[in-house]
Amino acid sequence: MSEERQTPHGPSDDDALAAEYVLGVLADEERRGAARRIEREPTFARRVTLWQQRFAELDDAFVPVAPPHTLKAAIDARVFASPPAPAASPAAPRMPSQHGKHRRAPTPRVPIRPARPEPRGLAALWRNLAVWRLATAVASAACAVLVALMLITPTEVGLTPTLIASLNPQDGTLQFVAVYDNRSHLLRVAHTAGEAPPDHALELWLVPADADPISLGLIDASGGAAALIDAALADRVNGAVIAVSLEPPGGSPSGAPTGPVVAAGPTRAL
Amino acid sequence: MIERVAQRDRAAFDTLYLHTSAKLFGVAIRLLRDRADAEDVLQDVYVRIWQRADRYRVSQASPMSWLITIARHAAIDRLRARPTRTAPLEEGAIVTDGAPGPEENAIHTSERRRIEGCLAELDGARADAVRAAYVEGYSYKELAERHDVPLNTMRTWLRRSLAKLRDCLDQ
Repeated sequence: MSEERQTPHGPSDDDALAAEYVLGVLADEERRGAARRIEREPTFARRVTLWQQRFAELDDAFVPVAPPHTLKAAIDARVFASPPAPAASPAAPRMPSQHGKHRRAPTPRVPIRPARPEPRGLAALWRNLAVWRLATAVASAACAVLVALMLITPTEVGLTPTLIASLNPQDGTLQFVAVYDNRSHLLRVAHTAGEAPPDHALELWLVPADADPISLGLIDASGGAAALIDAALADRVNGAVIAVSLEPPGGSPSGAPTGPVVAAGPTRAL
Repeated sequence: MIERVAQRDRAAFDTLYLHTSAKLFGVAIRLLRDRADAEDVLQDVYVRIWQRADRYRVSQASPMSWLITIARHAAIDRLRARPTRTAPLEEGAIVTDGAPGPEENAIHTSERRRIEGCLAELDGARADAVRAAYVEGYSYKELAERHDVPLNTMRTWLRRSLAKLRDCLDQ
């Protein structure tokens, strides 16, 4: 197969080919040849990446068009009905169960009511989350990473997200993702699912291993939060749990969670 | 355990689709100019995204750029596999929408004009060829026809333009 060109692959030829590949101008056979080289040659792959970065601004020209509603079901059928694949691909041909069944002990779904007086025992929460830690060590949760990065750092390149946490529903349907950058010590949180109950505040907590929860402030009206972690705490973020509790308006009056933990998850290195 | 993690991944995938499918469908429609093809390709795109999500590296591209790259390449792969384009090519100037989408934010403002500035330094017809390729999916053959020159001439022109663009952008 003669996808190799007659002229030798000098660096400037390769750079031009990489640009041509990204632009999409190559004819079928040449294009496939270039695609193969991306897989096989890291230097060539790097050239392609750089050209993609150079052209990325032209993406503004693409106007969004809503796809038909039926398309997602077709995609789901292909993605989730396929047999388990090896390595980093997710498994699970079974349909997922509902929200609210993430806890070990089966509990009926209880809508979040105002003024629920008993705070969740954090020790009990911790035990549950140790189970999560094991799970996340095993699987990649790659899409969760992508979603988190997208929601929180929409167009920034060169950010250094270091840790991520998927804050899963503990009581109700609320879900968040959190991304922590250990250079800036900035923790950012974005709401990804579920409804916030009215007349309550959602407060964000850092729960380092074997320590009391530390308030990081309230989730704002858009479902986000940004918190600058104190330098003294920065090295305890890794291995901590990030949690959201339901509090009276204005947040906990006591400095400790007073309401139930509605979402939580352990931090994980990226 | 794996099931729970897969559930979480699935919720993330759903969220990803919710936030990105209109933009990526827009990419497919623009390049393919055929709704049925665009729908097929969009399915392929999200399957690829699921399969390759663990290859994403934030140092290489913003998440949206990475996704759009997958969509563009899937659409162009399809175009190049066809013997000829099914929809007629436009004559004259390309209609590009330079307006930023709602998901764009101010972070790239200083960057945004860079490629525009660098394209402006090229001859108008050359800049037009670069855009026609990236945004409309023109092949070398189609560009040569559009500009009424032999294919090798088009190739030489484009390669020179790309070298100039690179030098301009890498400053």
